[in-house]
Amino acid sequence: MILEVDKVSKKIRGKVILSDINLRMESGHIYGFVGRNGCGKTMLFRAVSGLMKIDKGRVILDNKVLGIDMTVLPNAGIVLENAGLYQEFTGFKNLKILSKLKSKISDNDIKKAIERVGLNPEDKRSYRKYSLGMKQRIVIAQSIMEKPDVLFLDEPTNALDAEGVEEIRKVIIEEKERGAIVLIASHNKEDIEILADKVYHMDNGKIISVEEH
Amino acid sequence: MYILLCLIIAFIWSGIKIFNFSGVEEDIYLSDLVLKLAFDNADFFVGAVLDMAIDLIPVFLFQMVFGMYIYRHFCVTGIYFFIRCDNRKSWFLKETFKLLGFSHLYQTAILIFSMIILIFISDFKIDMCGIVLVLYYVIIYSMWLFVTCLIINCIALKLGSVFAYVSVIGVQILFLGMFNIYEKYVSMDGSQLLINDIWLKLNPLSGLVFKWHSSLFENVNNKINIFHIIYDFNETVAILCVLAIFFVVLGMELVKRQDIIDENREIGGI
Repeated sequence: MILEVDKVSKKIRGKVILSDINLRMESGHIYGFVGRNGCGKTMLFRAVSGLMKIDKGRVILDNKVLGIDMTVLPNAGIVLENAGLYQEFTGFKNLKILSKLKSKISDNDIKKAIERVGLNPEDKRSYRKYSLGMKQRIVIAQSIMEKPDVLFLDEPTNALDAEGVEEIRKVIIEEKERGAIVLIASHNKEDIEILADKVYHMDNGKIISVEEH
Repeated sequence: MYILLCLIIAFIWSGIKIFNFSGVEEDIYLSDLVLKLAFDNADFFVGAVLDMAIDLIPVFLFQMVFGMYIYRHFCVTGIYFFIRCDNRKSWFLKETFKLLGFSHLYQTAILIFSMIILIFISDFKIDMCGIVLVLYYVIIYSMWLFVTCLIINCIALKLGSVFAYVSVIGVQILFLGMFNIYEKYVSMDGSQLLINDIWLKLNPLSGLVFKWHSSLFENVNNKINIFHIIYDFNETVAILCVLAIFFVVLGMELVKRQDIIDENREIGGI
């Protein structure tokens, strides 16, 4: 599977958010995105996933064009900073509600995903009572439960303790080995050094350099 | 949870409205019940307008519960919801059908609970006039709830939930207040409107006041139409249907074009 980003640009209220982004990503690789706050990493994820429309350029997944052949990438998982789940439901219930949109996984698959991130699927606490670390883990579980072809992870190890960081890094490597295209945005240098096969440095909505690991 | 809320609010409101019938020794007909539920106390002086505001409480309650029914998916959970939704227009259409279903359930529940209570406390009888009025009551009131909730959801998508609620509920209260303007345009005995009836019809809330309407069915018309004007129920139904179609189509376009940018920190109500 090949995911190509071809000359993608986006402005919001006259401000350049993304400028002439070109990427070529393949299955079974992890791509790191680094840069200061506001450089466009998260917006890039939104644009490439289809959650946000682009002004110019194309996003192509295996010869299918986003916005023409598909509205969002057909089998993508995503974790974004500041995005949460339904406050009043348990972690399991939240994932069950989301899984019903595509109806392609069972309750067992949901439970396995929750266990993979180190949480208890039988936990009766509602999402609003979770600690920050638990919230981070459960949203990672929702991103991997449907075995996505493309996985967008924005600051995946935020709010995690040392043990949690190791667990999640292990999950990310497992996703890569499963054949997913994994995109990670992180301020944590160690995450990028350990996980990424290729690193894109961004600034002001542009890719300014590329590093192979 | 939504079904339960509909039923609870409907039950409580039915009890409150039927309280007005307690102690009445004559037979109570279905048509009397429907007219009671459909602003039978409507008038243009200040006291009556305030009473009408109280009678709008079940409408406001439904709007508060369902005003975020669709919009809640665009709140803080929106990213994780819409990454899985490849056809937002189709999804929106399904949600609007559910919303329409809840609107009908709510109004029907108010009616049925009221009837059940009346059967126990009085000599309640079903009349043909009542059957016709029931049909219009369920259609008109559920369509009003449906359209206003759709509007709240559409406005919330662009301007947030607080603005959406305040504007839609505020506009309804404003239209209600405007009834007071007509006070000087009614004859002393209250049986004649001294201005063109178009001015009454222009106020959308008039559509909820059954005794101002007319009907092609003579026995129904004799029970309502206090101003002896032509203000057919079917006109109100048609206007509400057109508005419903308009806002469904508008909503489909809005959700399709909405960029999911997670600055929306709202949790989306219930």
